[in-house]
Amino acid sequence: MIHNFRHSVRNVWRNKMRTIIVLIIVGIAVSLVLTMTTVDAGIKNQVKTLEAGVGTGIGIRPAGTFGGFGRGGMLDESLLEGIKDIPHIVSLERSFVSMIAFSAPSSDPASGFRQQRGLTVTGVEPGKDLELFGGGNAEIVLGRNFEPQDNGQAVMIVGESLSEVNEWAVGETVYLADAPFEIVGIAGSANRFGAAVMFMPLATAQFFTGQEGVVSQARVIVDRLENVDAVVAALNNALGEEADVVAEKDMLLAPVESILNTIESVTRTGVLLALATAGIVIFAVMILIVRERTREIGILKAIGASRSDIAQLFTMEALTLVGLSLVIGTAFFVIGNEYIIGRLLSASMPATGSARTIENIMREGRGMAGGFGGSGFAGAGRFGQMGMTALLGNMEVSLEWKTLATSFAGVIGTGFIGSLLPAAYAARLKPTEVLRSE
Amino acid sequence: MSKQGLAAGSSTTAKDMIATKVLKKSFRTSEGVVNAVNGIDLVLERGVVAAIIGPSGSGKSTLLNLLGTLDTPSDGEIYIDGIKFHNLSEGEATRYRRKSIGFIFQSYNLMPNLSALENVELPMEYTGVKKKERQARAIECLRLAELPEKRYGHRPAQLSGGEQQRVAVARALVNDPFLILADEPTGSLDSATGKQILELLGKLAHKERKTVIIVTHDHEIAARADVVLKLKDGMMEEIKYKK
Repeated sequence: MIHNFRHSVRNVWRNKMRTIIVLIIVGIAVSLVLTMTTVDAGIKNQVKTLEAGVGTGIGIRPAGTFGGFGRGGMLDESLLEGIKDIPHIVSLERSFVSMIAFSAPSSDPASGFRQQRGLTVTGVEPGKDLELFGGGNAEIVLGRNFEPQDNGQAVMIVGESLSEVNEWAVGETVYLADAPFEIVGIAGSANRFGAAVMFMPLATAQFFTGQEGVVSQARVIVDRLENVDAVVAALNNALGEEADVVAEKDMLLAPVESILNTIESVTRTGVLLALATAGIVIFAVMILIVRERTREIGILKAIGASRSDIAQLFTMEALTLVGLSLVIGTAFFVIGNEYIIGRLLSASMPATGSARTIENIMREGRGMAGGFGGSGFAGAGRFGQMGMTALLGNMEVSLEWKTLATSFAGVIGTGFIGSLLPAAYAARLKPTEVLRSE
Repeated sequence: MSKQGLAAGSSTTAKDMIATKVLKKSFRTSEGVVNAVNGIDLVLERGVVAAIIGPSGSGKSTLLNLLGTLDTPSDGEIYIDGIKFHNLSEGEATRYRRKSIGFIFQSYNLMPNLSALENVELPMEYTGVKKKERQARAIECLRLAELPEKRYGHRPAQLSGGEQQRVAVARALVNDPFLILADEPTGSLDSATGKQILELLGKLAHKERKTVIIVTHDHEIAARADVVLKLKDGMMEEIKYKK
């Protein structure tokens, strides 16, 4: 065995030019296999990162509103009481958004007219973030956030632009539909809609809009990602047809799945083609080598080599070529992977402007998907495009040991298969046939 | 050794003998069955040089291949040093061939990427001899074959025809076989070198007690052999003994 290996290694260099050409071709195939499997592994890791970034939130909304053609009604709070005891739920957040119409003095007070105006009121649970339905959170820039004792009181927080337009300040009392409200804080947001929003404590907003006991939607947080699906099932069971329950991870990742699947199928096809190329090249060169050395095979058999010696000799020669190709292919990969992977990913990415972080995209996606009632899916679709930018633009692609081992095993296996037939042919050659010319 | 090198009256299965009984080899061709070797009986003692002569197609090489277990007989028996060689499987034939038979070819057939020493070591790799022992034995055989020591590390392409054939002789000797089969061993050499090789083979046969069977067209070579076996149409036409 060892002597056959030694001879195989030496035999590889008997035709240096041919060997170098074979090593370059198979090396390129190896580097492609490494590139494709690395991208494949990178996508899988990125999906995990994305899922982790999405978190464990589950949205609960009135039935039909997720579909875009639903009723768009409100969710009865009494329904939510029954879900608190579902295992793995760590928190329940309720959100409330409602449009109110009121008459206000005209912009020209001298006219004496009043005009009808509409305002979006967002009810939030005191102590929690000022979550925007348009995505993300608003932050307090002046004054304070709501405190538990504010619930049910006539207080509000206004967005920056709303306060500027109306010249409202913290501590001022303003009238909405003739009801006085004290402004306790001014909130800012990068979101244009967020800067124009008006927050009230949840109970206040419900009372003010005449919608006590209902919320626009709720969001539960599950303890671990792997429990999300079970909690969704339990929520569906508990809420029945009254509510739509959608895990944020499913809603946000579903649109990118088809693109991911496309990239995966491209990389897998690429791996198969590269492996096939390596196998065919090894097969072809080994057939050539065996045909060149038929006479030697006869001599070796005459001086005592068995069939298995001959088969080993040629299989090991093929595997030596494969081994050297792996080294060269890895070197090619190290040199060229950034360029190739960059090209591959940029070709797959939709052009959507500046890069965003995954977290921002998540936040935007969640906001859009959940924030505009019937347009939930449209939001998610847009997220899909932007999420892809984040998914690929921020994707960290690095060669992991597992990927390296899998790729190497694939190439070695293919090379071995490619060498089997030529080696078997060599082993079966009869010395009398090849020595006949003697 | 008997005077003629032919073990008359001895048992064909005895040790120190090479023997065939009604040995036959036939091939199917498009023109029908060809009996390349057609019932050859032969008994040769250890330590003789036998020459097989005959016109082309007389069955010389086929007989050599049968004796070398490179081919299997259609019928008949072969005994080498008391071992039955005619009914062996391919694996068994390979194992016996390693130990019992050495080959010398007209065009030397050395491995081009190995040195003279490594070429001689090669058959011992298949018999599992350790590196150190292999090297010592190879050097011993190269000395017997009278290759200058400074040529041991040279590759075949760097050696003359005569030197290459000396390496081939050393390679044939290295596993200490009973039988050395040489197919036109001087066919590619000039007459002076050819003569030296024949003298070497004769010396090995007589001193080292190897049975050497040489296939040749050259009657001058045949004249140097202890026994001349003349074949015609696959049959033994004449056996001549050295006087």
